Amino acid sequence: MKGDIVTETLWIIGLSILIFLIVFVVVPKFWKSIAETAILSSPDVIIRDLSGLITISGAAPHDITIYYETPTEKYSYNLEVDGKILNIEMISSDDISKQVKEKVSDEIAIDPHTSIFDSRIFTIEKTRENEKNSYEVYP
Amino acid sequence: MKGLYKMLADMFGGILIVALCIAIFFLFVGYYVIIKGVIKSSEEERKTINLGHVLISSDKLVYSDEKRISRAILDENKLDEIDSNELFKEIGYPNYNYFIQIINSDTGKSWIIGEELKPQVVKVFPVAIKNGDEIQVGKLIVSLRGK
Repeated sequence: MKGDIVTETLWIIGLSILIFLIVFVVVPKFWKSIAETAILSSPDVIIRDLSGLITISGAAPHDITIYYETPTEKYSYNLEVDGKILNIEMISSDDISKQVKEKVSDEIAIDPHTSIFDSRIFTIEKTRENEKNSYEVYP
Repeated sequence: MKGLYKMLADMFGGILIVALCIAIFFLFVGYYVIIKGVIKSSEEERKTINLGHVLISSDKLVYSDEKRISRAILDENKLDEIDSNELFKEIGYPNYNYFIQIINSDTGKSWIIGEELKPQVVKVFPVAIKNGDEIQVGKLIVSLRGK
């Protein structure tokens, strides 16, 4: 009877240590890679990158072309700029129905009217002709 | 002795549950809050820096000819005659107000473009100011505030 309790206690202690190691050592490693994918493909991050790049294209004194490819292949994005408001919709690349999973908005300091559907690559182009700047964003 | 083993087992079980709760909190909630916090907190700073960079390349402020814009070389004649509404309409965020202060460090002359406001973020950009053939040192200060 006493031996049973000793064995049971040792089992609990052993299992506790094992679970402790799994939770604090193994899971964080996997979680880091899962979180990185989730963070990098997050529309919050994509819109931060794109709003910054579109705005900063206006700082180029001459013509400039900026290529931006989203960090993960899992999602593609719809992009719309209207009245200095940038809207991004995240859609799953595998989803045939192209249902919008998340939508975010941000502001930019210049106004290139544009609309892009289902893309992972965005090209931002600033050209200067006859002392006038023109901006274009295309897939 | 039996009681001691039972107590030890209960204690380890308890520690394990507490550790699991802490782990879940830090892994899911904590990580999410930290990431969201980093993205949101730097938003105004980033916007002010980007705005400043666009402004010091704007042909409404800087010296330009048909072929080129001289980035960060402000044209004193343009500063004297600038239409602030036109500038803000072309360059600016819909939900933020800003004003610009330009100071010629050599002569002490200064310009304020836009209405002064209590700023959330202030950023200073070193510039040159062209007055005829002379080029002097100055700074452009961008002050941004949410509407």
